[in-house]
Amino acid sequence: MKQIFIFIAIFFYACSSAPDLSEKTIRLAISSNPKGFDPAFATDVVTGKMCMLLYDTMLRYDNKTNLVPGIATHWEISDDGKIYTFHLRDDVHFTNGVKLTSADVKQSIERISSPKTNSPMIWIFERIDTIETPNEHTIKITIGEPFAPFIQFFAMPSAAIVPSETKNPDFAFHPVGSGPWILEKWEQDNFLRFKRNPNYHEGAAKMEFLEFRIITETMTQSAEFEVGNLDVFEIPETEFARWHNSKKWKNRIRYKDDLDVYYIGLNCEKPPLNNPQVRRALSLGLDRKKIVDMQLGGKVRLAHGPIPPGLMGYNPMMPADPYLPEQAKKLLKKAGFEDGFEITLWQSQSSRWNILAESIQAYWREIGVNCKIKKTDWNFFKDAIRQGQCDAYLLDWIADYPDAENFLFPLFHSSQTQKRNRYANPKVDALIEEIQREIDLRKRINLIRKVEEEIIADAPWIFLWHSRKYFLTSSAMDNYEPPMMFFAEQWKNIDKRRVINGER
Amino acid sequence: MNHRFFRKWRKNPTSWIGLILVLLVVVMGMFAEWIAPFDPLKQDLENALTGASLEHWMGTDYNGRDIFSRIVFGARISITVGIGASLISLILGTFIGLISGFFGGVLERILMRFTDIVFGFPALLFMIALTAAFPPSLLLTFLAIGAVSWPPTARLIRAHVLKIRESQFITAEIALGIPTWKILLKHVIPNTLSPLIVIFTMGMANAVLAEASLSFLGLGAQPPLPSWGAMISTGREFLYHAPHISLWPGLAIATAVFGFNLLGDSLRDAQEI
Amino acid sequence: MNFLVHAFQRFFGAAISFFGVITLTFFVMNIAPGDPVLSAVGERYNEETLEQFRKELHLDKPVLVQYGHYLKKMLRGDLGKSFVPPHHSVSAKIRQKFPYTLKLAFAALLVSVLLGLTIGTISGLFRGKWIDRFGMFFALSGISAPVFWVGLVLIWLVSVKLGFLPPSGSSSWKHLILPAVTLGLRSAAFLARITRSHLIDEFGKDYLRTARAKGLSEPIVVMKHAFKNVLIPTVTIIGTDFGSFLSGAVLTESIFSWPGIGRMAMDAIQKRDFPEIQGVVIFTACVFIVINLIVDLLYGLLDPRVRRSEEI
Repeated sequence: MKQIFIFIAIFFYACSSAPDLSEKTIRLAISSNPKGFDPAFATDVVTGKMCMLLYDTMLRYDNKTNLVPGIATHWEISDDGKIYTFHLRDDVHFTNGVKLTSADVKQSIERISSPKTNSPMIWIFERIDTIETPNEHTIKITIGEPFAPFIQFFAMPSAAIVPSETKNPDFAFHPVGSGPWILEKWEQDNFLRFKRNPNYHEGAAKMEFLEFRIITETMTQSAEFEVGNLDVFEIPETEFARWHNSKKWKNRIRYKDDLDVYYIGLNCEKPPLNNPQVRRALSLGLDRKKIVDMQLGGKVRLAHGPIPPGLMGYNPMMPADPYLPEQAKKLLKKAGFEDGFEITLWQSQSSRWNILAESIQAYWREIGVNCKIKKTDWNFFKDAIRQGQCDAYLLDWIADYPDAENFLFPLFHSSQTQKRNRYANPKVDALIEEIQREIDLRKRINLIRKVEEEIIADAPWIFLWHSRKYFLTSSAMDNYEPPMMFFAEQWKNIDKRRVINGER
Repeated sequence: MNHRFFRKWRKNPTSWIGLILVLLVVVMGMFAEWIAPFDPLKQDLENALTGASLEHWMGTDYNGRDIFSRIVFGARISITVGIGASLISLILGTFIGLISGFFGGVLERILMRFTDIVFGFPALLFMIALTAAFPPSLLLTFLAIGAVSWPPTARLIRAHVLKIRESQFITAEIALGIPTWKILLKHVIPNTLSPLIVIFTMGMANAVLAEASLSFLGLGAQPPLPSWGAMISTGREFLYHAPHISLWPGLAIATAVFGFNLLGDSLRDAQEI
Repeated sequence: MNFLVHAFQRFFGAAISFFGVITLTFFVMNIAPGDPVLSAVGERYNEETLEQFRKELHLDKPVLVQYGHYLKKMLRGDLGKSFVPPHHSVSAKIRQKFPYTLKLAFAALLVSVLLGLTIGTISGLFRGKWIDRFGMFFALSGISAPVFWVGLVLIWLVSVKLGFLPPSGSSSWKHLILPAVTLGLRSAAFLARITRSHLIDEFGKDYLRTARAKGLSEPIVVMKHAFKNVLIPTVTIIGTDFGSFLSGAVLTESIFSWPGIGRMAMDAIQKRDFPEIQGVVIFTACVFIVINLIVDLLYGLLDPRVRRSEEI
C-alpha cells in the first residue's frame, strides 16, 4: 500500500509545473495553433501575429494605422508612383549571426512571388516588374502601373524578411529571423514560448519571455485570467453581461475598435439568390440591432456597407439596414417566392458562429425562408465558398492593410468574386480599378463612397457589423494599448516589472 | 417469456420505476406537440437567458427559446435515434450470430473474428469518424451507432444457437431434412427472445447516450433541431452566468438513460431464475 | 504448454484485429466524400500542383494499389505527414500528445479504482440496506449520465461556483483533477456494480458459510476470502477501461481542453486530415488491442458479465 502512495506522490509531483517565471513573462492566450512560422503562409490572424515576432519587415505600423520605419529607415516613391526605393539599416542580423542585406529582402520577395512556393499570399507582389539591389542597403522596386496601396504591402507579415538561404522544408517549424523574439518551444494545442532576441537591432525586448497559451475554450480563457494567469484577456461575446456587471472589473474594461466587417455572403449566381430583391429581403428580415444588443452586448457598430469606420472613405452618414419583416415578405412575394424557399447557410466550426447562425435561421423562418445550417471545418468551408457551393455563408474580413481598397477589390471585384460569391458588376469593377490607381486623397474618398453605394444597392452581402473587442489586462499591464492592426503588436516595449516594483 | 418471469419482474419495485421513467420519455416524445407549452424554435431575443419562471419552467436559452419545450421535443429525437439504432444493431447482430452459430466452420471463424474487431475498436472514435465523413443527418447517426453496437447481440445469439444445436431434437430435425431456416425460426428465435429484450433495452440506453455525444460534438442532429446533446454543447458557452441552458438537457439525458438501464437491469434479474 | 497455445492464439487474434482496424480505417476514409488534397495544397492551388501532390501520395492510382502502398507504409511504422500546412509529422505529434493522455489515464484509473472498489464493497457487504441502495443508485447514475455533462456540472460546481479548481487547461496538476474525476466516474460506476455482484455471489458459496460458522467476524471473512475471488473480474474491467482511457477520451479531453490523443483525433477528423486521422486511429487501436491482449493473457477469457464501460 505504501508504494502506491509514494507512486501517487511522485506522480503528482511530476505533474506540477516548472519554476515560476511569471514576472519575467508576458502571458497571453490565443485560440488556435499557428500554421507554422513561414510568412509565405501567414493568411490567418495567429500566424500573422507570430511572424511579426520572429521576423522584421521593411515597414511597420504604429499603434494607429500610420506606416513607420522597420528595417527601412526611409523610403521614396517616384512621382509617377512606379518606383519604390527603400534604404535599409546597416545593423540588422539574423539570429544565426548572418547580416541582413538587400539581397535577403529581394529573395524574400521573390520567394513569395514564386509559384514554386505555392504561397497563398502570392498576390501581394504580383505587380512587381523588377527588383534591383544597387548596394547592400538599398533596394529599388518597380511596378508596371501606379497602385495606391502598394506601399502598405511592405508592412504585412507575409513581407517578412527571411534569410536568403531559406530552402529548408522544416522552415515552418524552425524559423530563423531577425525579429525581437526567438521561438523557444511550440507544443501544439498547448503553448508557444518565445525568448527575447538579445541582439535585436532596436535593443532587446524589455521582458525575457513571451508565452502564448493555446486555449480554445473562451470559458477557460476567462478563468485563467481571473486567477491571474494571463496578462491580457479579450472578453468573449457570450460573457459580456458577466464582466460588465462585475464590480471588480467593470471600470477596468477597455475596448479596441477593429478594422473588420462581419457579413453573410450571398451567392449571386444561385437561384433564388441571383435576384437582388431576394437578397435585399433576407437583409431586411434580420433584426441586427437586436442581435447586437442581446448577443454582443450592444457595443459593436452596425454596418451599412463593407468599409469599417476608421478608414479613409468610411461614410458615417449611411444607416444600416433596418428590421422590416413585412417589407421583406413583400419583396419576396414580388420576386415570386410567396411561399418562401430553402437555402443553406454555411459557417465554420466555431462556437461564436453557432449562436449567431441559429438566430439568423430563426429570423428567416419568420419571413418564410427555410434555412439549413451547415458547419464545416475551415478548409472545407473556404473551399466550398471558392467552388460556389454555398448559398449563403457567415464570415468576417479583417484588414490586411488599413486602406478601403482592401475591403473592395478582394471582395467585390469580379476577378476576385469568382472565388467568392460570384458577384459581378462592371461598373463596380471600373470604379475599384480607378481607386487602385488614384493617388489624390479627395478624389479617392469620393470614388470609395460612390462604389460603396453601388455595392449596397446590389446587396451581394448582408452587412452585419464592425466588431469592437473588449479586453482586460492584469494590473502589471494597466496602460497597455493594443494597436489598430492586429499584427502590429511586437510586445518588445512592454515592461511588467516597472509596475510590479512600483515605479510607474 | 413465461408467467414466472413476469411475476418475478412485477414484484421488483425497481422494474416499475424503470418502466415509468421510460414511458415518461416515450410519451413526451410522442405527444410533444400537446405537451410543450411553446414552439421549440420560436426565437425571442428580448427574453434570452432568463431563469426559471411560471411562464418558462426551465427558463430560456441564448435565443430566448423555451428550454422545457425544447427538451420535450428533444425526447422525440432521442427515442427515434435510440429505436432506430437499436433495431439496426439487433438485426445485424442476430443475423451474424445466427449464421455463424448454425453453419460453423470457416464462416463462423471469420464472422466471429470480425465481431471481435468491431468490438475491440474504440466505438466512439469510430462513430465520430463515420459521422464526420458524411454530411450529418439523423439517419447517418443511427446507422453509425447501429454499426458499432451489434457485437454483443451477435455473440449472445451465437452462444444460444450453439447450445440449441447440441440438443437432440435439432439433430433429429436436421436428419428429417427440414430446411435450415425453418429450424432457426422455430427454435432459436423464441429461445433468444428474452435475452434479446434485455439487450434491446440496454441498447436503447447506450444509443441515447451515443446520440447525445455525437450531437454534443456537432455531428448528430443539426440546428434548429432541439437535440439534447446539441443543447448542452451550445449552452456551455454560458456556463458562468446561465448554467441552466446546459444543466436541464443533461438531466433529461441522464433520466432517460437511467430509466432504460433500470428497466434492463430488472428484466435481466427476472430472467436469472 | 496449454498457456502457450492460448497465448499464441490470442496473439494471432490481436494481429488479425490490428490488420482489420488498419483496413477498415483505410476504406472508411476512402469512401468519404470530399477531396482531401484540396486542403493540402492551400488556397491558391493550380491543377499542376494538385496533380503533383496526388502523384506523390499515390492518390492517382486505383484504390487497391493505394491500399498496397498504405499497408507498406504502416508496416514500416511510417504514419506520414499531415496534409494540412505546415505538414508536421504525425508520429511526432502523437509523441507530443501521448504523455498527456497517459497522465490523464492514470489519474482516471486512480479515481475509478478507489471509488469503484469502495462503493462496490460497501454495497456488497450491506446488501439490501439503505447504504447499498444509495451506492447502487449512484452507480447506475454514473453509467447513465453522459460524460460531457458530468464534466460540465463539475466545472460549474467546482470551478464556477466554488472557485476551487481551474475549469480546463493543462498547465498544472490542479488541471488534472476534474478531467480525471469525469473520466474515472463512469468506469467507477461499472466497477462498483461488478464488485458488488461478485461479492454477493461469493457470499452465497459454501466456503464462506463454513468460514462464518467457524466464528470468524464478517470483515475478516470478506477481506480474506471473498475479495481474492472478486479481484480477478474487477482487474479485468480495470484493464479494459484503462485501455479505453488510453485510446483517447475524446469527450473529456475536448471539454477540458486537455491536449491529448482524443482531442487530436477530434481535430484531425474535423479537418479531414487523412494521414493524421489514420495515424491516430491506428495508434489508438494498437494501444487498445495491446492492453486487451495483456489483460486477456493474464486472466484468461473474460467473464461473460464483464462489459466494457467505454466512455460515452
